[in-house]
Amino acid sequence: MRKLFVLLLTMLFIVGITTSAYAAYTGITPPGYTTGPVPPDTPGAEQFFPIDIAPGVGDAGDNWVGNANNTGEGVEDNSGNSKGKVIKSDGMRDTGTDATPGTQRTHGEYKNNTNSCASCHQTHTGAAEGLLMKDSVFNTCTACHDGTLGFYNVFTPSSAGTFGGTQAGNASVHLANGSLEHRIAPGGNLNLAGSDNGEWTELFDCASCHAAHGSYSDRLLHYNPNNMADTPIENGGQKLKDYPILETIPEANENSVDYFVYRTTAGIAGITGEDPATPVIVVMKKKTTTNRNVYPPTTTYSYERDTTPWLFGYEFDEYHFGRQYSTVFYNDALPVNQAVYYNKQMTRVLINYGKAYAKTGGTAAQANVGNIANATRADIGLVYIVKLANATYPMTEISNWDGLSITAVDPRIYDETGFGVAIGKYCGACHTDYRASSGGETGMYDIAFRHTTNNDSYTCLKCHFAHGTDVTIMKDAKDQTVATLVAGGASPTDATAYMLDKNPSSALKRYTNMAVCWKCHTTSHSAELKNNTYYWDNWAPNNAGTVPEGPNNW
Amino acid sequence: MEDLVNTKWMFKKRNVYNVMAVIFLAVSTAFGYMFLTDIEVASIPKMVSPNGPPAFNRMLYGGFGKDALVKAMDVTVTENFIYVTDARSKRVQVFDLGGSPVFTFGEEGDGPGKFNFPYGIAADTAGNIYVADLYNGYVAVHDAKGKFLRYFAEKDPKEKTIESPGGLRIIDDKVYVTDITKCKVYIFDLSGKKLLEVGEKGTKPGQLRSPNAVTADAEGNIYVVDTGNQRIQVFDKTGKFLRIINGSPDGKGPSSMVNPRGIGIDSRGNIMVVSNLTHYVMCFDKDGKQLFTFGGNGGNTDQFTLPNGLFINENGDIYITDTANQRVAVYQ
Repeated sequence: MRKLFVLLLTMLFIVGITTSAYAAYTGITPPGYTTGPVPPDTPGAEQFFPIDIAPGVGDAGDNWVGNANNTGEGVEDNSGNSKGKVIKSDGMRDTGTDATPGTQRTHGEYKNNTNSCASCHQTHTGAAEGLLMKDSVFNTCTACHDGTLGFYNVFTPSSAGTFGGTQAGNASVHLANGSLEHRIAPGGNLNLAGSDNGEWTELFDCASCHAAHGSYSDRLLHYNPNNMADTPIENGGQKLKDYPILETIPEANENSVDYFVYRTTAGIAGITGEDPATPVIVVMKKKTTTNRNVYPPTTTYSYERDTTPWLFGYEFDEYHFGRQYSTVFYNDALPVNQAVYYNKQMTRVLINYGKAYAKTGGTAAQANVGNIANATRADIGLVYIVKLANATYPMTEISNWDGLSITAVDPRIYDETGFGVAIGKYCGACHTDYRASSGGETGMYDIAFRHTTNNDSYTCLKCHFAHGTDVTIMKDAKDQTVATLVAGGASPTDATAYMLDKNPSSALKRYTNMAVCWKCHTTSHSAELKNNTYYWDNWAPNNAGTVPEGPNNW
Repeated sequence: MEDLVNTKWMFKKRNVYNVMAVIFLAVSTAFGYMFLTDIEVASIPKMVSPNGPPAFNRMLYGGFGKDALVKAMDVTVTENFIYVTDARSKRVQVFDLGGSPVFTFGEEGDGPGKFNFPYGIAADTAGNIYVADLYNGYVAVHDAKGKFLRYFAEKDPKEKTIESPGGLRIIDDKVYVTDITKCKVYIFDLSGKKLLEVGEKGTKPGQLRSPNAVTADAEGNIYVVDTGNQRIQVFDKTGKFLRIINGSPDGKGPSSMVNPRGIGIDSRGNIMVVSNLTHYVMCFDKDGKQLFTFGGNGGNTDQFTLPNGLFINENGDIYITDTANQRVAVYQ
């Protein structure tokens, strides 16, 4: 009996130690599993999973994704014809000179089994809207864009300037590390007055300007900066809010509306891929043409279809009941719905956001919410598009990363018709009041006389870099840099002292000090003095010559 | 007499029972406490599974304000100090072996004693510190106290043997440097004489895209972290391509690492590599079979946020720079 007791106690002792040790350590392969490739986000016992993959699945044919739906199939085929195989919309077409579906570059080389989402998003408890982790966007972007991948280094000079300037060089940067709110933007809405006024309390970081998941613009510039694509035009944005739907084109003149929503047919609207008789709703915009070949110049007005893609997305009302879509059609004959956001919205209309038109959806019985003939008004958010290349000034390939073309923008593009205006609008998403014509007091949030920034010749990027500046990349009015001065015989110390911006902030300028004015204002408005050697030296006496053009000009 | 013997025996036995009961209770309580509070003792995993993950040991932090460790890219450890490159504050921060910040060297700029993006860091047997500056395009040699001595392998930074140095290790008196834009790995002797050049730009086996780190095993085989191609490539000491390690069987399947960075080989020949964008450290045996991972995204002591550099010293201590958490984690 005693022996049995001793034996039992000893066994209990051994079992106790073993099980406790096992409980404390979890790194043992469970039965039926093998230590194969480990999903990186599954610590502890969950780090194991069966590695047997069905034949034909998980190979190069479907981009090594290896899931039952073969969702990776065609993911590397960027022809735009693989829409049925991978998530890639026609809307991601190049809206520039190319306009071929699917040719707009998207970001990175994400695989369909990516874990990179977690770099920016917290699954359950984000510190910011969209489950974003505060501060993490800047850190995440600069984990690669700091030069360690060998290209698109934001800390060395590029056509966007640099975030890597030095204190000694009086650097200034578009502080994108998530420490400032959008409303800090000069010309922005400091007082946040009114509703429908953008997302001024969002923190400013890389994702404020660049849409990491894809955009319609070059350099992945955001389709909805500062939420302005969803903000009414009268509040500084690009949303047509509560616009009636017209069936006849109004007379275009100086005072007629800039935009209207038009119900017509696909044939008249010039929409391909639809029966020409299909009823559609499109957006029309006013076109102004000035003929300066006659005296006095004449201006004519007309309306043409606006093919700017429409914004998708919605917000819930405060009760999480009704959805307020950024782009939606209303039927005022519908009964009042209790949910304000949902009220009178047509929920069955088919909308092609990328190609910017809507047509009838739903069954005949759903005509009141699906037939566009019953639509009486619309909200349409127009996305932001900035293109930085055309046939005349294409991007230049500065490196090729084994099929991945690394390009530089030709700054002369900022002058091209339509390009500069788009840049001004884009910057104006935050620097709203700065986008103005000269000659009178303007502004939405504060009233002042302003510099012209809203045409192709005078756009933000002609004077400022988007990322930042410092003495090493600034120029004087004669387009000299520290490097050219040193090459010309100046000592680096003297050249740097000459080029250093003397102001408290160098304000992301391309030109040092007020050479930024002198660069354009080679004549004076207050006197008839023309004295800039650089500008006029290149002109023939009878003005028959041309202004010298080249990347060094801007 | 017989009674006395019996009594003694009885006494001893009861003692044994008591001692056993006390030991049992003590051990059960200790392990139970550890289980309930999730404490892991370093020796237990090692005892149960010698190939298991290492245990967290301690954390190195910079100071406040201007003394902060802003973006710790890489780390190396000598007999006296721990040297950490900080790419954002553009200097090298030096800690004593206990983890207290001692001094820094370097400042923003281009020239002797200056850095614009100090990245790979390594020490030679004399204790001199070699720092790769990615932006300035040179490897600078400083003494153990941080005094600038010379540029390595180039008399002048304008010489462009090395254009964009990233990873840097000194193993058996050979200096291994990765050149990120040239997509090559250079191997020099300590005098700066180039011994070998490995790789070229591309995605095929043996080709590299943006190699960010390098190390070598006891036989001199070269392990290159081929960051842009999401893999490790192994070359023999003559530069002949041997195999790919990416977490899949035979390295032929999908890679389980995203933006791989620092690499080290422990005394057992196991390879540890940082998977930056998944915030894990992955460990493979020398044949490329995955053994375990540790870390994960977060700010807890056993987590990382965008880890980058990894260094294993001769004692087997693993140093990992945890960039966004602004610290260096030490595992044993």
